[in-house]
Amino acid sequence: MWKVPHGVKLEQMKRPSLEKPIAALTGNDKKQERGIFKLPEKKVSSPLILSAVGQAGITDETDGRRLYDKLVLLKSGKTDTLAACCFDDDPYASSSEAVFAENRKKVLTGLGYAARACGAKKTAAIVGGSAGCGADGKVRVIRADPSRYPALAPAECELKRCGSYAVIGAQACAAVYDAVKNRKPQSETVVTVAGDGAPDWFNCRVKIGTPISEVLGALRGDYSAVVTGSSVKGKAAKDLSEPVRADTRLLLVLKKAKARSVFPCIGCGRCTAACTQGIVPWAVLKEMESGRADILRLPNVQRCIGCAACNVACPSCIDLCAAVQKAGRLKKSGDIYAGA
Amino acid sequence: MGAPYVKSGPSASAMLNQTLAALAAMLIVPTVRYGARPAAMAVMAVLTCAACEAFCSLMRYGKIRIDDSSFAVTGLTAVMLTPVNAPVWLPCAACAAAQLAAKAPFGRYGRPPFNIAAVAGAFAALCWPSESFTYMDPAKPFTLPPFGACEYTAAVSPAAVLKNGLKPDVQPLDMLWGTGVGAIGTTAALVIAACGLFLFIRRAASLETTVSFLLVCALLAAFFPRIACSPLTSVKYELLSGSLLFCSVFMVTDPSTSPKTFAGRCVYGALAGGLLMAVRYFGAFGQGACFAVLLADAAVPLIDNFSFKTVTVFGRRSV
Ligand code: SF4
Ligand code: SF4
Repeated sequence: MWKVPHGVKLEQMKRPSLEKPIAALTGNDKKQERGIFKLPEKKVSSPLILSAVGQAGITDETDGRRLYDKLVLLKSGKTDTLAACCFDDDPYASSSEAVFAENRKKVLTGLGYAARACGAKKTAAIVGGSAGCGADGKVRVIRADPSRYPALAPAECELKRCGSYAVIGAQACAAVYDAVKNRKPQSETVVTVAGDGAPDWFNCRVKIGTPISEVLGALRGDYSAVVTGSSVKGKAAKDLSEPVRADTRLLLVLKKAKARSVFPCIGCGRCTAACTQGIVPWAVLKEMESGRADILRLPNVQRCIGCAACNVACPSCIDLCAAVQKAGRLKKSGDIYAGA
Repeated sequence: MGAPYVKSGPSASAMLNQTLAALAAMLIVPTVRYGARPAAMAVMAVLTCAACEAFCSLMRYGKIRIDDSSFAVTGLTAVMLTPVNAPVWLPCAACAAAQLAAKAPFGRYGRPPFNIAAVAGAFAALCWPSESFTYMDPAKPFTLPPFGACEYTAAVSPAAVLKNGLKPDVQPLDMLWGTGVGAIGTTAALVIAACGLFLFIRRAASLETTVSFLLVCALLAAFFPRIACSPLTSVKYELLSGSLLFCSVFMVTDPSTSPKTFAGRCVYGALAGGLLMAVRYFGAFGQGACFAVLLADAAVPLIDNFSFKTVTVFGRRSV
């Protein structure tokens, strides 16, 4: 059946960084970190995994939350499937994909541990495009189409059909493996360095907390701005002494930060076509700008997943995502005539 | 600059610049054929629009702030709808009136509900009909100085001949090359088509509006011919005469005044096409493109409201 393509089409720029193996910028002896914390028993059980995850201080790179908190919450809420996101929903970042390609077994075993810790019966790996998976029959493989943004939302939809689910990052899975097997805390992360200001695009393993300037130290490119996180939702680093965090997946090095002027809505309707959740962002914006927003005229805003695909599509550079999320909060508050 | 750092299509200013480039390309054939006058008219109209834009921004913001090229698009579009033998002040006056009356009260590009160039065209047609619809015969000798009065032999345009219920004295295929009688930018159908192709490929104009517009015009021309001829000949004459083709590429496709959904744009194109043919059949002027666009623009909030409700009721998650 003919299906309307979802989201927005974005040119993928991952290949240059994926072609090379992950560079190590950690500069210290990895062996020293092994066995840093103690676990009560040898047998890998749910409490032991949770204890290891807690002691290792693992952060899930997909949402920046502590993995321990997430697993405890999932355990209490009964999750059917735990999925590992083994690709990056961003046209430039390829760190998760690189980690998965480097050691698939480690990621999938770590996913299995995390699933055991939260009581999920099934596991799944969400991979980008036709990337190899190496999963045995136990792990379900879901293929996402990274050429359209957001690519994770359709994959999550597929998961949803089989019951409750949760998604964690491939790097977090690898860290769970290290924590359980090697008693190793999460001290490193893999970030992608890309952008027109970087002559060489690569993935590198760096210690969490390393200043951005140190990661970019080897770069001889001339750049004026560095965006951290993601090319869709990331922020320009104000200061290059800012540390790399566990959920930093991309350092987008820009030669020139282009000044983009914001126009009023020109009515092209691209935001509606881009939204995967059936929201009409231009109408929400109009309602919110009216100064007397009526929640009855804000349909579906509560479905917003904050993907910012509408912002990517908007030729007028309007922050529609912020408007829709504000409308969502307003709707949740139940204030029928805000600002009346 | 803030997020997002990637874009999936051209920005609003890039779309305007591409339209401007296409309009500038449209000036080449008339400038080669008639000398510097079309270019001089274009420069004067754009300068007038720029002055009005500066004045309005001074009134509105207390400083001169021109951050898009929509004024230049208005100026060039208005010139394209003017006969080359018309006085240079005609497009300038029309543009000034349109900028001040139809744009200034609403604000920047994207806010005005009506196509400003269509307002300029309608204003010129209503206030100075003889200057707006007197065309010269390019086959006879003419003198067209860049500024000042011209010497030429007047001719009746194919649109006016059709209006009188007669068959134009020109083969439809001869109306493709820009050699016919008509306004500066409306006679070279092939150049208009090439510019349209450029705008559609660069996503600066929406194809669906143009297609539905032309389809409705062609159907009406085929079923209700104004002259005694075969339906196909009627379609050829109607589509290639007057400013219909130019309007289908440069005026109805303006994203800021057309509806926001695909279906809405199809309805809008069809409505504009129907109105244009109605103006041709029943109106006082042979050329009614500007009036048809303005009437269709007035229906856009209604179309948008209806499509918003439809999307809300039937709209589903696409994943
Ligand atoms: S941020 Fe919200 S409104 Fe915008 S595209 Fe994503 S889901 Fe739709
Ligand atoms: S994408 Fe931007 S300009 Fe286009 S309709 Fe939506 S809000 Fe308006």
